[in-house]
Amino acid sequence: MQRWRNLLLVTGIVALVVFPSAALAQEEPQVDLMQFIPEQFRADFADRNGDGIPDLSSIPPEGVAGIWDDKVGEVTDEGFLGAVTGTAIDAGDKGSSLAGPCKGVVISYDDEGLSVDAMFDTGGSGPLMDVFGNQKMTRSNPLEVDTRGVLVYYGSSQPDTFHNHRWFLKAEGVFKDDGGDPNPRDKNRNAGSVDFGNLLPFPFTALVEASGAWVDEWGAEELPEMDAYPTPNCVGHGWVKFVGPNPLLTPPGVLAILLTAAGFTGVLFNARPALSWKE
Amino acid sequence: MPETTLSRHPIRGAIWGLLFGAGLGLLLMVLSIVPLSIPTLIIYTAAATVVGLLWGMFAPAKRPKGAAPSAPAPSAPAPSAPPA
Repeated sequence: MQRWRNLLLVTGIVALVVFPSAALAQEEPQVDLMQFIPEQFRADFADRNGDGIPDLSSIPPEGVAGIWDDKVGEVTDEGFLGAVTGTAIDAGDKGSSLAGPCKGVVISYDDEGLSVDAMFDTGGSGPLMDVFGNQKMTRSNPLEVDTRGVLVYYGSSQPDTFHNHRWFLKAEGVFKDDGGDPNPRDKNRNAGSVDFGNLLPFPFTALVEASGAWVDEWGAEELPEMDAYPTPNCVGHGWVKFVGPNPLLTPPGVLAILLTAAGFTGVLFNARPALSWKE
Repeated sequence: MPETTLSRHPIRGAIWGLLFGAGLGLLLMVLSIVPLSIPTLIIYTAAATVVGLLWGMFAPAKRPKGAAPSAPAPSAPAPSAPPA
């Protein structure tokens, strides 16, 4: 009996020592996104939270996005592909896709400028990936976006250049946007930022399925959702997880708790059939 | 034995069920357990409304409040008329 007890004790201690350290062991990034930051600005993008993704400094995000726009937009197609290819792809989860010549990088930040998540695509039929070499925007590995923070992106259709193009972007239950351009200046790459903190009336958390398409030579008509689009095109779908504060402390969270509590109480105590004495 | 009457509350059940379903659906979405989707929210709400309605119809009835009204006391026999 004593022996079994000691054996159990030793097993428990070993498990406590080994498993937490294994669980806490962080993945090593396989893509260094710092190479997209111009050398003179790298001090402002130091990796402060140690996740392998450059963080924003305390300077206002709007200013940083402008710097990012100009410099990342100057990256050549060869330079971009050289920077992000060669990583091992975990293609076990097929929950996301981006087909066509489109490629680019997305980094999301929280309201303090610390990186939350990042992903990139190299164009072609390969999946979206995170910097650790895993398939990104799947339901089990969605792109995390802080609804109080900023998202910066660089995208390109090189070597193609789309003209008279139309596009749409849809996040189920949240928004749908669309547009297009004759593109007389032959633009085939772009960079920018989206400040969710300014854009959204309040922070919220949710898992959202997103989809989009961008079609060359479609013309001025609105682009509908189709099973197959004329080529060349870029078509993709995947999962985005909006993160932020404690979900239950956001306005939708508070509303959900109130409705659930009121409904449950009402069903339980106010809706049951009742017997009463006959007069 | 005093008799009881049963009153059912299907409308109340449906309304409270609707609130519960909408709240539960929203809560699961806020916690990212299910994806944000209007059709999913409608399904949760409709299902809970139907369950609430059925609950209001067929749930075990609450016992009557208060003590059973006492049965009317048997009337006292009329005093017999005095002999003439």
